[in-house]
Amino acid sequence: MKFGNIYLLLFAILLLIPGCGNEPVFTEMSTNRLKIVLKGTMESEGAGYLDTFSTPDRNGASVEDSINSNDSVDDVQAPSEDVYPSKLMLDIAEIRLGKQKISNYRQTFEIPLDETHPFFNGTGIELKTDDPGDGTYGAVKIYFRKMIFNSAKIFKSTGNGFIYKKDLSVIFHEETKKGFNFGGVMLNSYWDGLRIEADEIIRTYPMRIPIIGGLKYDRKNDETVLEIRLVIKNFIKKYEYDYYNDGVYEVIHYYAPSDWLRDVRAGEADIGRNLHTVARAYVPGKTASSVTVSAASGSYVIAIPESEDISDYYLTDNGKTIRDDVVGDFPQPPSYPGSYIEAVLEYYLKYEKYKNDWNTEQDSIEVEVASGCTGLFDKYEWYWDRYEGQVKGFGFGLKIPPYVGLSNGTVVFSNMAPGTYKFYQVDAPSYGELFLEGDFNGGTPTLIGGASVTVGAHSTVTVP
Amino acid sequence: MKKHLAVLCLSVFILSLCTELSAASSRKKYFSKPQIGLWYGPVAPMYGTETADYLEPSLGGGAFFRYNLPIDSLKLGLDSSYQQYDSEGVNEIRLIPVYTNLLWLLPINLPIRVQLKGGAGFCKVRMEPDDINQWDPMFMAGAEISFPAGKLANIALRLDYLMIYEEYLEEGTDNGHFFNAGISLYFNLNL
Repeated sequence: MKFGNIYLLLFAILLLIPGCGNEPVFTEMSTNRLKIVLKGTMESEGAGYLDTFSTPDRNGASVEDSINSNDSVDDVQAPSEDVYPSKLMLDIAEIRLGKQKISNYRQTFEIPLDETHPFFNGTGIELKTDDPGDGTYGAVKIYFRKMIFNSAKIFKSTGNGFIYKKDLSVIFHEETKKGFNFGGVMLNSYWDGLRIEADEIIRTYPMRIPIIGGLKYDRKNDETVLEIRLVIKNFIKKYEYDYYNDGVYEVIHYYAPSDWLRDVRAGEADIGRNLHTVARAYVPGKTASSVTVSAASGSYVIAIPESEDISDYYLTDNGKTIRDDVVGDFPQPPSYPGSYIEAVLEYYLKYEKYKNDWNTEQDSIEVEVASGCTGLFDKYEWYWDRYEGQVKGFGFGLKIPPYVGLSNGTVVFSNMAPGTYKFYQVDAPSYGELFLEGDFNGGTPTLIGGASVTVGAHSTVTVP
Repeated sequence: MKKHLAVLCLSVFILSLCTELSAASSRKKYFSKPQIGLWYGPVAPMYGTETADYLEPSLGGGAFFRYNLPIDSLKLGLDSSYQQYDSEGVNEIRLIPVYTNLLWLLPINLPIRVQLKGGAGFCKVRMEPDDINQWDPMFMAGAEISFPAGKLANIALRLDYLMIYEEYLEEGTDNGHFFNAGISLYFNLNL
């Protein structure tokens, strides 16, 4: 081969290289344009538009005590050792946007249940992430390794009552802390494993959070904020967890998000789908300057995009009543205590009662008339399908409005993404509860001002 | 200091052109053949640069071809390699540099041969999860120490610095700086 030929070949190879790109990759690596903030309030707005932290009486933390005799806390009621929790601990393993992994930084937070902490004062705590690719995203997934409230107490049976044993310990961030990891019981075991939703029963790993209005990520914007809210503030309830320890019956009192939506009953261990979450996205500098909404002081103002259906944001009745209406709500079998003769004898007694209760419940299905159903299983299915529909069991579940503020005569929404919104006034729910249909204008959700309102970038809007 | 270095380099270069003065003419015979080879070894973002702040070292490998020039101590090479870098987070970068380089054999009379090299070309850069996939211009400089393993093969240690140039882009403030080290095996060809 001659010299000339080889140079021609080298030159030809270089010519094959297509034109250069125009994205500065190495600059992109060192910049962070997506900012994720995590808040523990239902309200999206900060100071002035937030409900104050209320700490219920240590034994009154169960929100249904007054209305429900079949509450989760049934074995040990009102012991003096119970203390309302003072700290929430979160251990986050991973964050994904749609299917795209955007963070695998392990992040742990110890958050005091305190008005002034950024998690509760409307500021939010920032999560470390990398940037996603350009695109539109409808959901964000947070993989919570652990979610812990402190102040979990163990009580043991003495045969004719319970005595306080000790505080429960848990490993958090490789350290032993006092508390209970309620993330581990955030599942629904009474769902039929053959149902298509069965793969979503564990709701905290990952916690799938809808981004209401969507996140349109564009690298050209210097910063895009994704605000994620977990309803924790004023939504904490006491639960009871039963088990046998070396043949001794013990119960744990622990705290977790309220079971207002999916009622947790005596003897039930699982509390799934009771952590409510929402996310919204905006680009700082491209939002409305201010949106001022007038509403009765002490009520809530909520705003949802025009395309959303308001009925996804409330229940027609509280979860306890909805579950009461289910015929075919079979009792839980007792758990086997191990090889301890007294406990096993007690187990067989409980098992006899369980069989009897089960048969009674089955008989009640047979006599009930479920619409269009004849067989026993058809009826059972019909009632639970209806239940799932009423507690918004499909898709993302009960939605939390992306914009929520507590009115002091008006609510001023800052950082509202441009779009057309529906504004509603809602009565403030009680501690540990969310919105019911009856809270909307006496049961008829009515738009403030009678129509949807379009909010533009840099605009100042007054509603109505 | 820089001037002195430049003068020194230039004079060594001129001396090396006077092949008849060198006692190493027979040794150069191996060098004067076209060569093809492979390398494998540690690749890393250059220590002390901003690239090292967010990428982690890895292993990479590549292939190259070299051809003679009319001047005995110089060769022209075409190199390509594959390098994948993870970060502490989820970001990931894959590079496929393709460049030509000029190699210069230092006229030192030792059993091992020392070559200096410099070149330019283009680098395919893929970044995940941002989904950026493009070609960037690049420059390189490096050194290679090799010894013949028989008439056919050579074994070498190569050390390269690659600079992927992006500062010319709008909003580009950082370039990519990488250091490659590799053990290489290459063969003399009878073309």
